[in-house]
Amino acid sequence: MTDPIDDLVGALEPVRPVRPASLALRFVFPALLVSAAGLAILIGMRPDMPAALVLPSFWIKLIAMTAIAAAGWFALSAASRPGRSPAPGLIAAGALVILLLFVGLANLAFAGPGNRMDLLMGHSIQRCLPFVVLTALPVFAGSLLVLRRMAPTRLHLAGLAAGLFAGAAGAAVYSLSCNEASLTFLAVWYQLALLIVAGLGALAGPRLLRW
Amino acid sequence: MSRTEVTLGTLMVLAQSGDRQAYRAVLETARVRLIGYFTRRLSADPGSAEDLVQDTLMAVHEKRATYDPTLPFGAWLHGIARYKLIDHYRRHKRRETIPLGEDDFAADTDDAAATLARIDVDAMLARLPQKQAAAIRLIHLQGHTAREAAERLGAGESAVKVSAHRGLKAAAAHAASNEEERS
Repeated sequence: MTDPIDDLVGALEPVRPVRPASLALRFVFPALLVSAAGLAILIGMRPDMPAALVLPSFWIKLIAMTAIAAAGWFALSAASRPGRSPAPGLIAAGALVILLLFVGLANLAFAGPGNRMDLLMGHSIQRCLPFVVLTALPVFAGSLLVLRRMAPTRLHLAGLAAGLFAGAAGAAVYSLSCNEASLTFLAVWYQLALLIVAGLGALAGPRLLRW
Repeated sequence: MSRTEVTLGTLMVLAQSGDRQAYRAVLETARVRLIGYFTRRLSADPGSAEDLVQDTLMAVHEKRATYDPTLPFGAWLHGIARYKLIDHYRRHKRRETIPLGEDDFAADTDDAAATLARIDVDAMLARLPQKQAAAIRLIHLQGHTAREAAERLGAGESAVKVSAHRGLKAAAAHAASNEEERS
């Protein structure tokens, strides 16, 4: 019987070390462009677009979702390597989600009773939820491609990280088309959509990422 | 990071660039650690432990580009080994849900015990005269009646019975004296 180590040594070819960040350039960045283009074609940018750039609500949505996406990416990147824990990134993302939820609820609490329903329900839930999920899907697929080229060893957590990242990135892209100004709306509906994607990622992780 | 880990990490980086000597050193060290890791966790199943050592070495080979030298090599290796172990448990569980049942496991162990006993019996019979050994084989191991055994051996029925009986007695005496020697 031959020693398997001989076979492996014989089969050694030089490899270039892979990093999640360089893979993201190949898989996640194009996915973001696909998401943005798809959204622009399907429902277009928000109608008040150039003027909206000076609205705080526009930037708050974009920055909050980008921050969660950054934490999600940090977790994904750690989950993609054996021996590194995705926990810090996941905890950071979770903390941001909870923080935003508190801000949204505080916003509701300080509002006049007559405004509360409007702040919570807005006027576009039926558009926000499906389109955030839809916008997240290409990014989610790109994230899976990154993970599959790496070596994730905790597949539920890797899937969760990919879902959080993709959900938040999808929400950030969607915010360009959304003219809701309420923090409560952002905290509840945007986050519900991104948590749906995160949940799907966690459930599907072992199936999609096995190697 | 300990010195060994730094050395291993450096060797792994060399292996990534195609250095076979460094790669061999990494794999040999990895194998020693993996054997320890899997045999400790699968002490009841040495066959699987051995398979998992090979699987993990293959995975190390396949995924060698993902090693990041800022991490200890041991942590990277352990992450992969742990993944292979969990994957093994998962597959194992899935197989068990197909109603394979405990009976099959019992049958397996019975088979194993029977095989071991057969080996002992063969050794024992080898020490007996051929006639007695043949009679015991036919009657007691293969379950033939004394008459069938007599026909096969071309001897009288009672002669065969006597041979088998004497053979067993002799074997028992051998076994007893063996036991004494051992104790």
